[in-house]
Amino acid sequence: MAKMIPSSVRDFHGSRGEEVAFQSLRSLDDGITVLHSFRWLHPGKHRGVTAKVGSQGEGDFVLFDPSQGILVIEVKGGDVWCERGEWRQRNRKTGSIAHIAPEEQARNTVHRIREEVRSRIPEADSLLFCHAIWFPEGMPDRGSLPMYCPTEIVFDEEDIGRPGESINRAFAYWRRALPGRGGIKSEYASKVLDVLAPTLSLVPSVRRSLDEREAQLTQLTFEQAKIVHFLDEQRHAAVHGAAGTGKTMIALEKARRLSSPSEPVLFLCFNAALRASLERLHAHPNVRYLTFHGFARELIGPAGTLEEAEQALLEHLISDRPIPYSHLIVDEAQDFKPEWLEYLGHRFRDSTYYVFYDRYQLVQGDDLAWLEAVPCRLVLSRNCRNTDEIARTAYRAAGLPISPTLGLSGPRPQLHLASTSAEAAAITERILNAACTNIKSAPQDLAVLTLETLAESSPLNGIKVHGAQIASAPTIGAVTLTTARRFKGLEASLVIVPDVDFRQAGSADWRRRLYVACSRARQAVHLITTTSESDLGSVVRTFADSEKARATWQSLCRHLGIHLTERVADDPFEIPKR
Amino acid sequence: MILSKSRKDEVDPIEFTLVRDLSHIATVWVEIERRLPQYWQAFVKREAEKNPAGKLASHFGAKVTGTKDVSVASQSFSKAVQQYEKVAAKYRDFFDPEAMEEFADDPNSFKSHLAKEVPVIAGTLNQRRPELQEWQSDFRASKGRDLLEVFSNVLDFRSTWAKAQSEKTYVNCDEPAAFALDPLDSDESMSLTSVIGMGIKSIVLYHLDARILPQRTRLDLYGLYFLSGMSDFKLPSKSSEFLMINDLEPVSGSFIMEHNFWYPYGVYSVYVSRIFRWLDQKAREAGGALDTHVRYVYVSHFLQAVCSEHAEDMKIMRVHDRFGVPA
Repeated sequence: MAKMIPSSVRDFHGSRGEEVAFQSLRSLDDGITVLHSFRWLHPGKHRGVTAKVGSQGEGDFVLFDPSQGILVIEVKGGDVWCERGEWRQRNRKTGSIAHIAPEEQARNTVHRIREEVRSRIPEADSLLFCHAIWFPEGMPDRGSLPMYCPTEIVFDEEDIGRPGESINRAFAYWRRALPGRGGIKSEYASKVLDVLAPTLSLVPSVRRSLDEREAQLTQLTFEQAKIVHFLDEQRHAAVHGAAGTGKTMIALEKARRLSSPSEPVLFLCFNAALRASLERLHAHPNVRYLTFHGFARELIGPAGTLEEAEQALLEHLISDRPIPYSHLIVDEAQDFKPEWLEYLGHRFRDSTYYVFYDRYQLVQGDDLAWLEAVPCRLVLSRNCRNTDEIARTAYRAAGLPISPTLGLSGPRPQLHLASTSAEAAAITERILNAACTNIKSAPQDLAVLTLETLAESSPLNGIKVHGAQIASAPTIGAVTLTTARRFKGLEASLVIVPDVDFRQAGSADWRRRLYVACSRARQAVHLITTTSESDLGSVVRTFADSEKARATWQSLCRHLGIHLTERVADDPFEIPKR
Repeated sequence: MILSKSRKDEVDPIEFTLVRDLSHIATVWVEIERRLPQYWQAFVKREAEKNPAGKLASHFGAKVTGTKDVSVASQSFSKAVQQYEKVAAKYRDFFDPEAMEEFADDPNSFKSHLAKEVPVIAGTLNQRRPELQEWQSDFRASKGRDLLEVFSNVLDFRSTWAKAQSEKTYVNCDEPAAFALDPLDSDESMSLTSVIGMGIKSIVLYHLDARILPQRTRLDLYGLYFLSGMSDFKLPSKSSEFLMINDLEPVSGSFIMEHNFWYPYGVYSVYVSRIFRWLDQKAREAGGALDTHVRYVYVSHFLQAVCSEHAEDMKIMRVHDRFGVPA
């Protein structure tokens, strides 16, 4: 039995002829290889050949018999006839008639194969390359075949039952027509087969899985798209969503849709770093990105202190004096003082006013009185920034209920133990260098986020990364080193938190900061702690909410969904083995 | 031992110290080892009678002949292993570390799944025996978060402990201290009073790794009780260490008898590991060997066979089963 490649075909795309031929050729002798639906492209190295054979094509069957040569067979089933030397075929479903050139198709495939095999295997110089055509559903009048279709290379319905005989007949014809050509020595036969049907395996590139995950993370979820459409009907709305649920993405989309030269949009946020990032990545002629204080300065002027400017802005808003924006979108509103939102809501009461916030990140107290004035409140529940593992750790850190996950798996966050802050800095440096050197991560995709204010004397300030700068705000070509608080609203592919002091786990604010830091990461999180196991005491019970929780790293890691690691891996994005 | 129903601290601590004593263990083992051959013969005979030919011979009061001991035992053990694998798969699926971590987000769902999917829990919850009502009620009242925590801690202990238990190391363990299993008994983070004790823990652990973790069920302890000649070995309570007798709650003038819930798992491991070696020696004498990967499946199977030889005693012993703790 011949070796069929593929060994079976699920779908012949309606070609009964090909199906019949496939089954027939299967009965050929051992040692013969038959490739079905052999597709090829022409590299265009030789213009003459390319022009002649075309830039791409497909052979229905390529048959390789090492003792005779390579035979390309083009199969034409159904209603086929030859009219004044030209082949025609009627489509059985539509009835339309098309001009076909089976012999030419087969010949082009022969040319392409011959070119490739000879260029790769010099010993195949005398190998016979030839073609045949097969009408498995009919019996042509062999006495009336065109001159370019000698009867020996035309197979018909009767040949289904005697495929061996038929191909021998075709090979014999071509041997006579092309003297000196024939089979190939057995030692080269496998090389020919390698050209026709290569065997190879792809070594996954280190970046591949990262890029695939990245692509999935940037897709708008169904839930987000629904809210974007829904907001078309709402002029005032407050949208709550935990970190990574896509608030900023929706806010940006709304800003883009609302903006026009006559109706500019004001997009307010709190963090200067977030504003700069929005400006850099989402610049739009009719959308103005400002921080609240930047807005105050723009409207009131540079005079006075920040507090004075803030007060003046509020008075400006309440007095209904003109402002140059038609619509207002507030992102990361949880960082705004409640009265700011109240005044802004009042000023934009007759135009569009959307507020995006995360109640879990509230740092300005829990005063949500401003929400009362917003009639439409929506909730985003689906995480779409982080891998499931990161979302889980972030949510568990804050003691939040787990939101529906994205279904995108990645490496589990890793915990590194250090004895001093200098060692923590050294580990941070090793992770960053591994990411930049081994994984070729862009420095701006990496962030070191501290939970505490970064002291000038901190060893983290001495970190050196090959080929990258260290910057305190997101900058192209630089790794960001800042506090988690200042990085709110922003994200990075890999986040390192180098100062996790678990002894503070009793503080809700600390846990919220840990949540913010972890949830900034899209693909990987590395936590570094100098806490010792003996200090864990009540820490694990805080996360576990059970008296049965054990004060061990193993237990803590289980509760946070993190992996305790003993070394910095070459690939900081790798999935740690359990 | 004479014990209070659920207060281990009321038990005379001297007894627990005594049963760990190496000379005491040696004395008990001498007794067990002395009886092993007779129970082995009984086991082989009983198993041989289960064969179709044996059943027929037995029906006509004839003796089963021509059957080798090891061959009969081997068939019986094979069936036990097959049965074990079938049940163990359920435990392995449920206690898969990743699946356990998922439950951290919803501990109540852990409890409901535990009640449905873990055979020892599901089986006990679904029984209508009055003596189990108390346990069932305690289980229902327990918090999902605590249950999850206890089982997670047990699994954490097992994963750390098992790493140090290569076959080479394990076969050399022959004293309670060498097994280093005491935390399973004593660490409160690995127990839930009146709900999850060593019996259930040992059943779970056994189904996860019968190479190094024996199950310590009621029948296993009863088996040791019979193997040790039902002797008290001069313990102050004048009762067997493998049983407990609750003299605080006499029922109609009689004492309540049960297996010893608190029998130290490390001491227990000494006896059952020795029994395995004895069984393995029998197999080797016949040119075979037992598979150490499931060593405690053989032991448990054999101990149950020992209990089968005392069906009448068992009936009496189990009349007053009312402590409500499964296994």
